[in-house]
Amino acid sequence: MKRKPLTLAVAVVLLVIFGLMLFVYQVRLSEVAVVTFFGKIAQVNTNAGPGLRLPYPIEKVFKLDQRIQNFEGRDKFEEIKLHDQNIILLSVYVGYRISDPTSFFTKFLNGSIPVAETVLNDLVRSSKLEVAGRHDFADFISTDPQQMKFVQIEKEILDEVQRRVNTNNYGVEIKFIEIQKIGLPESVTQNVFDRMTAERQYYISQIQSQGELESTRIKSAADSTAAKLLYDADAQAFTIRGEGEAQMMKSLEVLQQNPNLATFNMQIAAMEQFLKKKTTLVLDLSTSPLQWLQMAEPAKPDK
Amino acid sequence: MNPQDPNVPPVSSAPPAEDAGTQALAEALRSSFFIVQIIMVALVLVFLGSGFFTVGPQEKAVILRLGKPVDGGRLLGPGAHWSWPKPIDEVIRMHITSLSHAESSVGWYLTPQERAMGAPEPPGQSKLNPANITYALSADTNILHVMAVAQYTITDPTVFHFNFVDAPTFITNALNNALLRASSEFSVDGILTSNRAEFRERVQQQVNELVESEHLGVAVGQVDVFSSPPLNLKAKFKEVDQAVEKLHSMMAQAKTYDTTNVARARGEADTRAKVADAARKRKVDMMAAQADIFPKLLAQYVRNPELFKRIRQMAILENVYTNAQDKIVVPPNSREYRFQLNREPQEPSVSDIPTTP
Repeated sequence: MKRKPLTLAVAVVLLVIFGLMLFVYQVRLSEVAVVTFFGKIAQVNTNAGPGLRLPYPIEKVFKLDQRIQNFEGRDKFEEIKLHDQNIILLSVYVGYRISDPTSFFTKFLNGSIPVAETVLNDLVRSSKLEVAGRHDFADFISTDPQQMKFVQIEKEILDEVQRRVNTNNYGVEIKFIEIQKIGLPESVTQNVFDRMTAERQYYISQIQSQGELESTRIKSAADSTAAKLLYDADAQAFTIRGEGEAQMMKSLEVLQQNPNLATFNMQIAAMEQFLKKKTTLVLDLSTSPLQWLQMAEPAKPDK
Repeated sequence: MNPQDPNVPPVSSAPPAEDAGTQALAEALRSSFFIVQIIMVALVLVFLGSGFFTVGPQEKAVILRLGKPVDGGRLLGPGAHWSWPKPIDEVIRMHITSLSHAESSVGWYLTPQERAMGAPEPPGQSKLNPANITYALSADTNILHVMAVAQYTITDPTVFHFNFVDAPTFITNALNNALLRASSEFSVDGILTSNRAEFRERVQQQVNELVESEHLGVAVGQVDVFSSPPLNLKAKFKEVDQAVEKLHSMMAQAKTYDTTNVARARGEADTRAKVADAARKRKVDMMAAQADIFPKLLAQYVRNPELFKRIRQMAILENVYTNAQDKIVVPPNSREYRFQLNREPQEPSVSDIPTTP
């Protein structure tokens, strides 16, 4: 009899566990639970925590992931004819989340994500073709930033997809649609490569000629600057000499007392100055005062 | 009740055989039940003990009790913790490495898997099928390859793990989109050479904007961007680079020429001005000196002009002869005499500067 309470407790615990398994389900954070009663939606539980249900198969619980899901367009790289008849290849990736679990569950085979993404992919594909077809090539790729509509195009595709999703009541909110890959048809890439090669060749010759031109210009400018500096220096020297002449004239009045003496003095002073440095004198014996050396020569014997 | 009566069974003092069996069975059941109880207690202990868990140094954990975050989703740090075992509690571990990294998956000639394996660069092709080799288009409609590697840290693990099914893939896609957008805003030469830094900053800016707009719970740090011309045009692009290098070299030489020649001319000009000034000063001083002594000389000159001239001449000649560096006296009667002039080479002057051809 002493063991009866323990046995009873064990039995109760087992019963509770069994009951919990039958009547309770969990909703995890980031999940939503859809409970069906004989296949018909009975309740949608979006709150994380435990929930009550009738045992299987009376009620079934389906859990949907409410986090943002992303998928890449399955059409991969599809050629799109643009408004200006150019062809471009676009691939987008999509982020979405379940906004209305009831609609999502109903429309997509008990809330099947693969089925939903297949349907969404078709919507994205057709919206992408429609929106991109309204734009020119320069709206995607352009040297003019004002003309670029990259972000706008992404938003237009998103709006179009969201509009169609709402029309069909898919219970999905499109969070983002962004271009993931962009390209040109394979045949066009060859033309682009040919053009790029020609451009490179043009750049090479342009750089070479620019280098020679610029180098010559710099050297010529340097020569010109150097010549001008020397011309200016000569002009300045000429001015200085002129000023010297003018200053010398002040002494002229004194020298005018006897021009002959003045001239003589200036000549010999100039001669002294002229022969002051690094002078090599070549003299013969008749030059004064060397004529006196001749007198010192030994007397020649009488013949 | 005659004991001799054969119809009356004999009375025995031992318990009946059935009771012994029942007792043995009961005893066995009691023993089994005891063992079962021990096993149950052990199982309960094991069940409760399985609730212990550890959180690693680069992890955070959240406990979900019946699916609902405990304590409002409080993050558990590294160390030992306990929670109710499944299915009551569920421990969600979140890896928070100090620095994670994401690579772009489009735009490069090798896939991320090929890059990770160190695959060699494929040969250049005359045309590209974008389904096989992806690339980017520059603003001037040229083809090039670009790749980005971003470092990021998870700032809000709860958001990172519970708002996105695959947040790392989202970062990769954000890098892809940022690369394409930025490429479409720059010229091919800007991306490859002249505006590399601006291009990298633009990619970084785009990635930050995309990540922040979706509240991903990460902070993007350094974004490294790599770019390459199409493989079949690499040599051609290299030729352009070499031409640019040559241009720079020519410019440097021209600037050196400019600096040297102008500096030399400036020095020469300065010298010329100074020489002129010195000559002016000398002449003026000489004239002034002559004017000073002129009255005295005039008095002597008037007395005997010829003698005065001879004396003055000899005085000057004495100085000239004395100061002369070389004095050569030609021997009498010599018919030919040779000597060398300009023994010291003259210093070059600016007038000797060569001019450009």
